[in-house]
Amino acid sequence: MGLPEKFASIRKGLLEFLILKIVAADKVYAADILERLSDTEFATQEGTLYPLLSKMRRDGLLDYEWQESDAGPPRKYYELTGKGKSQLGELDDYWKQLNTTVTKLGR
Amino acid sequence: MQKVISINLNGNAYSLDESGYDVLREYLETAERALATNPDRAEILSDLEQAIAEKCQRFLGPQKSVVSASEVDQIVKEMGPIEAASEEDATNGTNQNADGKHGPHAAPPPKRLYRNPDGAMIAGVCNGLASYFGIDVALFRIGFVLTALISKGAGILIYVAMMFIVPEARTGEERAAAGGAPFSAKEVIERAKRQYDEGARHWRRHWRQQQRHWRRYGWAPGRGTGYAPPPWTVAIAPVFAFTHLALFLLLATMMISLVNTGRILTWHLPEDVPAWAGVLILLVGYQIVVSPIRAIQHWSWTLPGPGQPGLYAFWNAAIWLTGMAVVVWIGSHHLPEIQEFIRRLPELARQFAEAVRNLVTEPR
Repeated sequence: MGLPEKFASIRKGLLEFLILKIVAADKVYAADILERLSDTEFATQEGTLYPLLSKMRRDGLLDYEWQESDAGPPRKYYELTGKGKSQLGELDDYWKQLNTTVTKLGR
Repeated sequence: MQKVISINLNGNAYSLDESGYDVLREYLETAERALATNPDRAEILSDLEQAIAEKCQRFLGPQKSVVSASEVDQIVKEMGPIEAASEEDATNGTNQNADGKHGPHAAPPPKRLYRNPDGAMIAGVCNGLASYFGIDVALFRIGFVLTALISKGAGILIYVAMMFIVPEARTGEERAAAGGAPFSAKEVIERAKRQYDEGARHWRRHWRQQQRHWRRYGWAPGRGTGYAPPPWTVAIAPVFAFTHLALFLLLATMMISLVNTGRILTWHLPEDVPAWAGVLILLVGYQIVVSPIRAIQHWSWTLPGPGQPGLYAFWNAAIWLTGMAVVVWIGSHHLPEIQEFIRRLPELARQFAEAVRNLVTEPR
């Protein structure tokens, strides 16, 4: 088992958190999110992202609005809802806490 | 030349090659099944279509209006399998799998072994194996030919068996699956049973004829003719095995030098003879040289009366296998020549296939 596989489930779990971060930074559409993630360890494909975005919207963390694009049909631009913003804050804090624990424990 | 199919992706028309269309339809159908329990199914599907449309756009330009099959393959690969986003979806998916339907994790069409008739040389067995394992088809073809030569024909039986057992990829769906989960033992047995009834009558007749022939004339001159080999052939059977092995190693050395440098030891191949023809000539020459040795070996194995023919056959096989294993292992680990040889083989086989294809398609 390679290193990346060991953390596969952790990366999967962090994906939602990262999407919240990306959407909080500025208004994006799906392809932008994939692009931001593409050069990182969290590179994701449409097949994973789209169901996740729709789930996050159902959970009331995200919403979108249609915007005309200069190339092709209108696109869905995502933004955080109030609930999304407060959840991002909580997740951020929790992540820092996790980091401190990992650094402090053991060697 | 491929038929072009027009499709509507979220309100825009795109033209695809027919086989590309099959792959894309399969992807979208699998996505639909994977999202069967998702409340936002329709919306996600339309988003997916939109993303596919944008990717298609990337491949189109003023001079190019059709998305090719390989481009569709790339698009589908980029899109990736549809993954459930929540626990709830995941559990539903598992239940579905138990029902034998496709759950979210079965989103990419499962890989299955098929014979692929597209670009096949005989029945598409090697072609199918190549797409199943994602390895160049030439390697499988060389592998089969070498196995057939080394095993004195038994390799051909493997091919024939696979011709019957492995189904042919007929639909686009099957061709898509050809590149993709192992096929279960149960399926193999069922299919073999079915095909046995369908096509085996001919082979059964052929087998009976062959048996009659064997009963009358025997496997080797030693049996049935009343002509026994002299005992010394048995005593020095291992010597023959070693000679045989040595000749084979000589062949291998010549083959490697031919493939790597275009020379057989020091002798240059004439300009107008392609390397693959040299390889064939070598193989035929080798068969001619070893055939007397092989005949004596067979002869001594089938010795009637005292002695244990099985034992000689065993020794011969043991010496052979050990020798081969050691040579191949040492060779592939320590000799750059052999690594070079293995690297060059596929190209050679490709040239050979090309030449054969030209011969078949353009009779002069």
